Amino acid sequence: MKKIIILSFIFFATIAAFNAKAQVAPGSYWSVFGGVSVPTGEFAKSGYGDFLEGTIDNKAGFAKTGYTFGLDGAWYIHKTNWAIAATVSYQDQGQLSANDAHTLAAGYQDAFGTDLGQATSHGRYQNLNVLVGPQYTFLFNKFSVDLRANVGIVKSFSTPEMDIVVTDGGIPHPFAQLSSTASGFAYGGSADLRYKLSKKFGIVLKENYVASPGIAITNTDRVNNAGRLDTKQPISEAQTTLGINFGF
Amino acid sequence: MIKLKHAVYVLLGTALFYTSCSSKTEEAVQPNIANETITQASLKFTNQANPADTTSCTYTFLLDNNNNVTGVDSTKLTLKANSKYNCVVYMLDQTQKPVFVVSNEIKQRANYHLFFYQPTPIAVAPLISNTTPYIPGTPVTPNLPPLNLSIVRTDLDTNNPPMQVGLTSVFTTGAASTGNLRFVLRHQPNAKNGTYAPGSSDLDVNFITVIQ
Repeated sequence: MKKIIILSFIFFATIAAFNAKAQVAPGSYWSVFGGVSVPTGEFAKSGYGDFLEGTIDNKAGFAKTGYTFGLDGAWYIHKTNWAIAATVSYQDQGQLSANDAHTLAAGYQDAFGTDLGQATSHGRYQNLNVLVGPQYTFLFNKFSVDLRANVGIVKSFSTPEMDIVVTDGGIPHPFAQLSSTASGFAYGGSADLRYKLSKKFGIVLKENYVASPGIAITNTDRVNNAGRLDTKQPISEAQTTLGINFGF
Repeated sequence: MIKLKHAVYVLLGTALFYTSCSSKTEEAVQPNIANETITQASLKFTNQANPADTTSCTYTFLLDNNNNVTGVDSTKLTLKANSKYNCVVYMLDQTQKPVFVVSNEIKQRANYHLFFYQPTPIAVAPLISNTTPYIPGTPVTPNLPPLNLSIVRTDLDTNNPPMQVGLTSVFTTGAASTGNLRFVLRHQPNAKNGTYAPGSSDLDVNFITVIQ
């Protein structure tokens, strides 16, 4: 679905470019936006895998569809369609569900071959993305299409903590994956469609993709190499937002 | 520019608000998987000096039709004096059809399993460390002739750093003697540190041992 949207934007942008001969250069703007943030890839996975088959998924994030909001802006280089753009956005990608906790409890129980597995989770995925990059704008009457590439950082405010206890022969063996406030490199791209309502005011529909190879995760009391062990959580999000933009 | 500043304050304030919000706790318990079922354990020996010289001992839990243990059967271990034997552990779960080779699964789960071998009687307390297969607390009986047998585990798991497992080992015999060999499999989930103490026992059996 995301590919279709991006390809649609590119197609529209190409048409716009052919029709943009007589347009003046676009004006710098900033905008506020909000919308839905959908986890993708490993970040969205919610499986454990199989210990004996060697398919344990250490990176499954158990993230959920959530929301995002933030500030966005683009500053155009003099009389060109090129701009330096920046986005600051906050995301909440939810927390583990009861089913996820069951998945972890069963997975760790199997991986350690114990009588009992117990998983307790609290805390949410909450992070801030700060991204900058070049933007090119196609003008088409009151519409503008912006294509952008981004790099920056993702700063985590929290990740779900997972407290595990495997019990065997009546003896509990606890360990935990802690909440992370680490930062990581992030990159991505976006395509948006702006509609000018007045000279200085408009609305913007944006499709944004952000990915990070991972933020550091700390685990405590892990003595043996068995079962899921996540030390770096990849984060990737596809976001669809609606905003209002102000020219300056 | 003032509007932008206000918007930034609102954004950051909202972010901090959501960050400070507590989330609910999800908890799940997944019970009812028992330790490995072992109905038969064998130690198979090959004389290092003569590969044709092999021997074994087997401990069997006798089961009724409902898989309840009705008795045990243990064969004697006989080794040559002043020899070195390579030993391999072989364990079965005969309650499954086809019969399940538990020792293969123990190999896959080696990072939290550890075998112990304790000859008795002993005249002096054995060296106990995270690399010796002897069981702490074994009674010392200086007035009895000891079983002249020492054991070294030879296989390693994939922990970091690797630790011994004991599915394979080397038995070194001394002068002719008799006694018992206590054979224990410890299950130490996320607790294996090379010592006997953590965890619980999946198997704890004895073999009458003759060195001749």
